[in-house]
Amino acid sequence: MEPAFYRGDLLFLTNPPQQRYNIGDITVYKIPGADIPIVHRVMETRDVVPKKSKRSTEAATPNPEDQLVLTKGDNNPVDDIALYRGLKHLERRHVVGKVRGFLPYVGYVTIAMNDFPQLKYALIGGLGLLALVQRE
Amino acid sequence: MSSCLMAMLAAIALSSFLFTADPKGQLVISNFKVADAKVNSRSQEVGLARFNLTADLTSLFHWNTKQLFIYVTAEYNNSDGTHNEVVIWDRIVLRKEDALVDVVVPPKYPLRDMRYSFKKSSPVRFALKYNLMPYVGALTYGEAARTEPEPFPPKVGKL
Repeated sequence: MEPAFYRGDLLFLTNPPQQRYNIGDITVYKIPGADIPIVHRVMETRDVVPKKSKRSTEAATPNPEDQLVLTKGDNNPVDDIALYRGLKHLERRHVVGKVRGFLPYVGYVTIAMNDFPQLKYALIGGLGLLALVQRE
Repeated sequence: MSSCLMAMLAAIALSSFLFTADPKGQLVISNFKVADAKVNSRSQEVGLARFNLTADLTSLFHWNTKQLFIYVTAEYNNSDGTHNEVVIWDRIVLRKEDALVDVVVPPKYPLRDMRYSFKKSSPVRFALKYNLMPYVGALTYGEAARTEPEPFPPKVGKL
């Protein structure tokens, strides 16, 4: 979600089950069948009220689990419907979590290790060597 | 070295909790209409609102502010009782100079409903909200302005 987050940034997520998502929250979601999760902001929330049963007279209250959301990247002119693979809204079960905080660049360590496996072995080897040499 | 860096980052992240600016602005509806339109190859009613927006959000820019995301929301209940909150305008603010907002907000994202109609919907309230995104640390949210409930106007023809 540039320009807020870039590749390599570390995001802190929460996903409390009984709490609704607010508009403006940044979610991480994964559509079934899609390879990678997407980080985009919530632009629409629809708190669907469950169908009233004939007998109950109480007003039905929306269940956070039934909430529908629509997302958009901050810098995109249009919403994400094209990314939803036929869905009109995201359902709660597609949402992995809500971004609460963030730490830049830290993820590059993992990215670098994955891109250059030699680096991983070099690091492990180096650490092992240090452990041997620096015996108290 | 790394623990020293971590401590410094933590200090910066925590320091932003000391900035408790709560700026307020003004959001005045200048034009609000409902019309028929075709969105995603489906003809439906869309709500289009135009605003005069004035807000001084410069106080939100401190040393740990990377960007500000400001957005205008519409809140209403439709005839099903579904509570809807929808963003109808947004903007990314990257510089303090641009945080002094004084714009005529055009209808950027048309307001749509899952029933494709606003018939029997509750009056709609508009609000100006912001999300402060730091260089490091927690994201914070706030509300800078809110309008009185505004009933949906009768439909005026096609868009």
